[in-house]
Amino acid sequence: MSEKHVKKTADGTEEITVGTPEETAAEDLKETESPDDTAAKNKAAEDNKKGADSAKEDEKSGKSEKADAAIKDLVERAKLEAKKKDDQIADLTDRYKRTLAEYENFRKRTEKEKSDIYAYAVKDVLTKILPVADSFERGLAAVPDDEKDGAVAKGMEKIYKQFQKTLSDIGVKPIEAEGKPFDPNYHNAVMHVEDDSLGENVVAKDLQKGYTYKDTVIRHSMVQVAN
Amino acid sequence: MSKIIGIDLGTTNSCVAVMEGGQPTVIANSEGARTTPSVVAFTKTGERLVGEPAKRQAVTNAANTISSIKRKMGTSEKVTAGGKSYTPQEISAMILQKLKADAEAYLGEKVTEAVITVPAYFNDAQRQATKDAGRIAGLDVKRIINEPTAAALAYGLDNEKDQTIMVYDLGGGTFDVSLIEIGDGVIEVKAVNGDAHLGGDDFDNAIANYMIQDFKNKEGVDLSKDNMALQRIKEAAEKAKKEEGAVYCDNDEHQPSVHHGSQWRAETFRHGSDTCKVR
Repeated sequence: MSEKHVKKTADGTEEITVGTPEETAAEDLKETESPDDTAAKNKAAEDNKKGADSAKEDEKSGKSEKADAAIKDLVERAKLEAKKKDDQIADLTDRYKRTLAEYENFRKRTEKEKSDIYAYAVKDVLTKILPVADSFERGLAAVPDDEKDGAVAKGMEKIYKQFQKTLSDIGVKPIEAEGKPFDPNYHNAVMHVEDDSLGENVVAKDLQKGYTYKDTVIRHSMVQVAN
Repeated sequence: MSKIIGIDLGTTNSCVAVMEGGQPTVIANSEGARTTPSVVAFTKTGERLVGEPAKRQAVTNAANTISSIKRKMGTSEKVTAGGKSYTPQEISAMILQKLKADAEAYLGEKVTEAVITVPAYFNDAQRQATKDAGRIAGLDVKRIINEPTAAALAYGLDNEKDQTIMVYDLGGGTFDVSLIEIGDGVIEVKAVNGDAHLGGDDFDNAIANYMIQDFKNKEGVDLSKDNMALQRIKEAAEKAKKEEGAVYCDNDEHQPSVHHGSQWRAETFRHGSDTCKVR
């Protein structure tokens, strides 16, 4: 259709120099008469009429130029639309890929966290139970000499031993601190003392036992450091 | 594309978080804690410690342990530690580096961009110093945001109706109060005040002093003279502060071993501020 149009306009342009657009239109009608393309022919006829009309009004700029511009405009707009859609697709694809990657990372991290949760939970509960061990230690240390062999003191000792064994079976170990070189990864220094009998930066006293659970420190030793 | 991390570079403690699926998530450090002490230390063996390990050896190595460096940001005051001299930005950068490393370990990818918060009363020099610290740590600091503003944003208050809000920030070392106005999605800090030397530690001390006083009254013994007992009191005081409501510090916490089996008990009530004066 557009071809025909273009042909016509081409002819029209040529024809204008020779004759009037009206004559051109009439001639073209004769040429393109095809029985199976009546609708197109009619449309074409209408277009020609319109073209003829506007050409009548617009003597300088021919129907051809206007049509040309109209087509160019349509094509440009179509191209712009397509580009807009392409951009949209690119943006959505990018966002989708990002979300997928983020999801993948999240999934991996959650899996790791899930397998760590047991260890975290145990660590958390143990940390809360440790003060009981502290009390046992302090209590037993405070028993006066004359009561040390008494039933209560002995009983306490047995219970404390059972407690220690239970902890050790779980994987909890006390941190050996006294006399060892101070290590901030295992010890928490709360006091400082000058003592010539000890080396430099050595743990002078273990004020509160520290404990490890498997490989991690669940409570640091509270220590007094010398020099 | 790398993720941007959000950092609260505090006077006493720092915190780092990241947005995941539109929700902020605080990142635990290499020790498993959600906040990292803003402490840097240089050991006698030339090792550099940042965070919890640095805090744990502060008592034995006070001369080479640096805390509260935020108070010096924006000044040209240098600190000497481990035989060298550092600017506040360089020390802050060491803290930021640790936070960056912890974030990268958590995310499993490199981190290059960050947003850092500062107090609303920070001046240009202090803000620039914070940005510089980020740069030294290898971070492109996209924004410096005011702390109370960040708090308001975290609660989504910029999406609610226009309102005026008071933000109380009681931190480890400072108490900052800000009055902010929210209107048309814009947050503006109208006024700031507070106490730059009031923080959690002061509360611990007040409770500890109360306990010492109480024991003195009941048993006639001044525990402040006994370093070991004092240490345990400090720990118990901090624990009591953290637990809300009435707290019992039983004889289990103190003294059977040091004070001949005497038993002692102190009660710290949440509303008992008349007995626990802070200032």
